[in-house]
Amino acid sequence: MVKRIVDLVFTVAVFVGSVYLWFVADRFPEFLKYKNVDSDFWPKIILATMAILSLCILYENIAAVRLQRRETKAPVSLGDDRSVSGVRWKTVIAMGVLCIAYYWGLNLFGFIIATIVFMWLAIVVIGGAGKWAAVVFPLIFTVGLALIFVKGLELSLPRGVWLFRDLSLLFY
Amino acid sequence: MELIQGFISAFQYLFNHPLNWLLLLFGTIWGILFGCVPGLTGIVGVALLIPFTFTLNPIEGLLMLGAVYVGSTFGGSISAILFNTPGAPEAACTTLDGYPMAKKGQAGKAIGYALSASAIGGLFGTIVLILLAPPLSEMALAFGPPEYFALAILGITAIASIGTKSVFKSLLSGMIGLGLATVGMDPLTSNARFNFGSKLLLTGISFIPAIIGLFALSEVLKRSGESLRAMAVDAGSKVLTKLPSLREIWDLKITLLRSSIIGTFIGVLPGVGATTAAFIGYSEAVRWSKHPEKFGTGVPEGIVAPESANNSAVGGSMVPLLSMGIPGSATTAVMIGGLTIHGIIPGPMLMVQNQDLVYSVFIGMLIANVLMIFFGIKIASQFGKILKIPYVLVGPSIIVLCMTGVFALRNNMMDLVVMLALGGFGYLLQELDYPIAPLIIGLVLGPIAEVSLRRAMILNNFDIIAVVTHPIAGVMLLISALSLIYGLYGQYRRQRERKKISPAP
Repeated sequence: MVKRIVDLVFTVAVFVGSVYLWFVADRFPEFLKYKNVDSDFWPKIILATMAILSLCILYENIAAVRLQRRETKAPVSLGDDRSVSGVRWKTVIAMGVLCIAYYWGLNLFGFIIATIVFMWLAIVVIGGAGKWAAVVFPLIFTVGLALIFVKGLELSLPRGVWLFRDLSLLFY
Repeated sequence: MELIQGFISAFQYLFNHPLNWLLLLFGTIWGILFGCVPGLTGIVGVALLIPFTFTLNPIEGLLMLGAVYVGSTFGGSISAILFNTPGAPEAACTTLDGYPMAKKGQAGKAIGYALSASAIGGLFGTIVLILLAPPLSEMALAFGPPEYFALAILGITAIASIGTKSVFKSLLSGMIGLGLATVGMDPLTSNARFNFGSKLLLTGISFIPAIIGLFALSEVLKRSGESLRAMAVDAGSKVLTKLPSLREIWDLKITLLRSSIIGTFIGVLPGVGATTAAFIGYSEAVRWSKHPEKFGTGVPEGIVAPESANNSAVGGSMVPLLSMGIPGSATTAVMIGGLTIHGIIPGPMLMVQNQDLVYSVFIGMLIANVLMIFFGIKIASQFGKILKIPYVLVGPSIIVLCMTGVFALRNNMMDLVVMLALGGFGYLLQELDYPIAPLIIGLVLGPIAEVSLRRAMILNNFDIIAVVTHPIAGVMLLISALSLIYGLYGQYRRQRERKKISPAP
């Protein structure tokens, strides 16, 4: 049921988004030189196609619900719940939040601190690792990767800001 | 006769200078390693070595760079197959069937198929380069904007058949990819489009962060949500790279030949490259397959098609470089730097004034494709040991590696934002049964399709009929329309059969 609802909401969002972006494209500056093939030419073709396709998918979903009703003669199940059960949703959401936090951490604390902390937290969130591996692996991995990128390939890594930048500069 | 004399002279040179063999070996291994680390890519591998070529003579330098290009084009498939993380853009298609095959416990077999197809495609492309460089470059000049547009549409319309019950969902996914490709500056007018005031988005949605997010990040999120028992089962997997038997290769001969021809020809077209070759090779394999519904589940054709196409494009992309001085791909554009350092100007006079250089490059690429087989097996086996490490440690490591690799590309934090956003979006799409492949194809081919169509319209006084009735373009567009109709008809037929089984009350 959840999956079907999310699918319907997504399809409607695509339709509404396409229409909105059509009007955004309409406001692009115009160039006389490119009169019939201006900046909005191609985006409008894509957006119109997306809007039509989203309506087709909406129709498909409604038709699928009606067919399912006919087959099972049971109250409508608005989705295939087999894929939903058995998924650790909290873990997935937590990992998503951690990834975003890692991005911010790279900006603020620099590569070394942000990576070690991220890996420790990620291992705890996913679960199933031995204690020693959970503590030691992130340290070895982070240092190894930093050495390869900075010393081996001479590619720069995020340094962070303020005190953390100074700390990073000690290493790279 | 001139060809044979040129080869004899080049062979003599190579045999008398053992350093060249060492450079070929080093270049191939370096290329494979760079190719298999997400975010690093062959372009970075070539660019990092260009300053070192200053200390070498031109032949040695170009041999090494050519070997890097060959190795890196295969290298991306290792991480694509083992971790659903394409190490290089041209390996993005290989994930579609390579990773499902690895999940079935056949990772070694998948890598074996990739390696064989890469070597066969690479040898094919190099032989074509040797024999047909001048006529191919003339044929490439006949390709104008209408033909480029039709080629892009040909690749995009095959998406209707790729791995989903709903053709509409496939097409919408492709349209989203095309839409994302319009973000940034308009290539013709330089207007800012859909950046909503952000200067960082003026350069558009970069392709590499997009594919790393869509494939790698979304896969890590998906695996994180699995039960601990499911993750523990995978940790016992072993990867013994196993080359396919001659019989298995023979069974795939049509796919190999078609994809190698496609890859070589697309490589010859300036500005297109191995990534486009891989996608079009894959989409044509789907289009012409008797069982297109099996693609995406781990079939050998799904690995062999993109890998032979992308490696044959390597030889193809050297054609415009050596014969006209026009890079056939981004990597060959970087390689021009290696030539310029030595005062060599690639172009029509290169084959006259520097015959030894040209023929040495030909032989070097042949040798690099053979070396790739030996070292590809070794490196893939080492990478495969990572599968023994519990996923709870591998998953976060992949995220760190992806973030680091993407940041290292351009030192641009917006690339990380793109990767994260598309990672989450890719996860959502997969949960809602939208295939990811069409989105990637749209993102790759979108700029080519748009610019070519607009240029074609301008050149033909905005007459769309004149554009689509160019002979080559017309044929390609007709094939595209027919395959789209066929895909829609197939879906309609399946739905009718389902309704017959469950009649109305």
